[in-house]
Amino acid sequence: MKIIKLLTGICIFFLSYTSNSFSLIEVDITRGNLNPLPIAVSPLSQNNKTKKIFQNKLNLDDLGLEISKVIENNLKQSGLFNPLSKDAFLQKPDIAHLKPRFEDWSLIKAQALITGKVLIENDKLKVEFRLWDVLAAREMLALSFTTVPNNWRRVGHIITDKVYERLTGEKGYFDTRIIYVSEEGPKTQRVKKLAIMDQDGFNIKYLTLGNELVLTPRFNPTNQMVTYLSYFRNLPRVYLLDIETGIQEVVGDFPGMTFAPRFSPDGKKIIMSFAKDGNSDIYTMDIENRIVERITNHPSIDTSPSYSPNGKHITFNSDRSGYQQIYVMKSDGSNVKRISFGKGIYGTPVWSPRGDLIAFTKLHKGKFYIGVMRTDGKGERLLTENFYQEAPSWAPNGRVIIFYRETKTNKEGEGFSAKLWSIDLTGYNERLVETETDASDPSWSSLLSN
Amino acid sequence: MALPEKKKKNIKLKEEKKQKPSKEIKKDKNLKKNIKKIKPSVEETKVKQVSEFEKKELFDLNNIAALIDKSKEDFGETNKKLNKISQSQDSSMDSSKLTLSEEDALKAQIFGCWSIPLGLPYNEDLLVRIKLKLRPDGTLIKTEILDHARMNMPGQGFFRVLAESALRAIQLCQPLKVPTSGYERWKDLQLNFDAREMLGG
Repeated sequence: MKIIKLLTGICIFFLSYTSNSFSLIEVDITRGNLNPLPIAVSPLSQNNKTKKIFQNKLNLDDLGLEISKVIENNLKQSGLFNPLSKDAFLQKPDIAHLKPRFEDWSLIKAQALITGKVLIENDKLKVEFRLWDVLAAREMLALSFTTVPNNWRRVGHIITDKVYERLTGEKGYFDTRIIYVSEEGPKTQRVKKLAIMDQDGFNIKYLTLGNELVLTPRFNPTNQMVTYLSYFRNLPRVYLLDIETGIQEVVGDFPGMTFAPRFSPDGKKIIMSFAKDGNSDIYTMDIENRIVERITNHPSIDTSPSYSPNGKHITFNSDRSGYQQIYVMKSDGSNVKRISFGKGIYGTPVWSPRGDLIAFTKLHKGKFYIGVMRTDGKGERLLTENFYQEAPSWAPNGRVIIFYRETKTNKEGEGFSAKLWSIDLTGYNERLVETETDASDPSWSSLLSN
Repeated sequence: MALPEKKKKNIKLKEEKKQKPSKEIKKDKNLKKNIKKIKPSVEETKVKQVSEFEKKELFDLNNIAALIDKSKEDFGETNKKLNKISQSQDSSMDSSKLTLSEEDALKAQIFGCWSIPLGLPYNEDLLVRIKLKLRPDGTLIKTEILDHARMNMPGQGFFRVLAESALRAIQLCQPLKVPTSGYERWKDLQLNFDAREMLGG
């Protein structure tokens, strides 16, 4: 027994001696590359029978390929991913979905892989997909969805949201819509209609005929209602439109013009500006009981109100300091604080859905900027500058901002065009959002599949 | 403030009824109901469980013997080389560190392999520590995330994303550019991946 104890002691001494002879070396890796993640989106596989059924139903030659293109386009637009060319893929989609040959995918430099399968079940479209970590040779995510076949594009968006969330750690913003003002005709006789489309520019629908001027449409939190500005008896007034029924109504009976409407985060109130005798203040109206409440009372122009996501605060712009600046106050109108102190004038503040930032438009030395600042006004960052641009609206994950920009259509500065653009918080990923017509005043919906 | 009756007017939508957003929204509701997380089939579940929950054993038992032999050889060679180092050089050498040039070579290699997830918020705690066990040729025997418990904690999605990106970088870079000698010194190595500087924090 003593011998065993002695031997154990010697072993422990020996092991501790050897293990302590070299302490663990630590190396700090503080830099990396900021290139988008190379990702392969394999066409979703389907058998011949399914392929023929969808060819008849949807008039699409290869539904699996089309869904993969929706995903690929979304990922590319995000700026965070680099979808690899399908021409380089070595493995067939059906086999890849079953068990990828990871060496083949790492050979083409893919770090992540999306595979999938399209099925038909009881006349419904069923889509399975898997996300793979190519370098770790393992599955990261596997889900399936069932829906009516016509919703195939939405399935592509929902898959992108899931992949985006798994690979970035934050919610996606792809299964969303954008409402905006479609514009056609010369600047002096512009026909403006409310239009709604998927965030990638597909499925455009027009909600008004263009008889009246429309401006600043905003979704409610459930994306079923829209508030916007139009004209009633030649006065600009805030309207409410039920997208489902197509019924619209004037909000409140104000003896003057109302404008810049927006919903409260719970969707129960509309906050807006009401102008009379050259003074405008901020008001709210409860949609259900129509009770109106005055929030600001100041002999200056207070407008563009926007609630914080928790509904406790409101940001707005006001010229009470002499020129237009951004302010924050409690939702009852108390404790008003100016937060913008930079050079130039600031307007259209919009609180981020994350609650951490406020996006704004800034005009300085004849140039327009879209920027963000923290809610106390610190950390101002200008993301993009141009000849004329404004009206930022946040994607539901608070990472991307959509806005509109007007440009001259030729070098001589003649002509005029308005288009929607998006930019992310890094300020690098600026992209044109395709629309059929000219477009302005975009507003991003929340996630539809939430 | 007194309020009048609701003033309503119907607007004609340009689209035909079947194209009305209302219908579209109804479909959305339908989709919302129908789209759900469907558990993969038994076969899929198996695949998922194997890939997600089975800890990959990177320590290949068959290779240990060879590894020990090789490390002995390498260590022997290293000892021979070290014996040749003059007294002054020997005293300046810190066994707990890589030399600056050794560290720079390794860092430069990993910088190139690490795709920092661009979506990470810069104000988060973005530091992941990974312990490596290496072969003398710089290939991996084992990797271990030191705060592994955080990987599956609710609200730690960003840590998980960062840790996975760091692991991908190590996999992509191997064999690592390790010193040609002194295997015992660096066979266990800790890499601290810190994205804060790159993401503007």
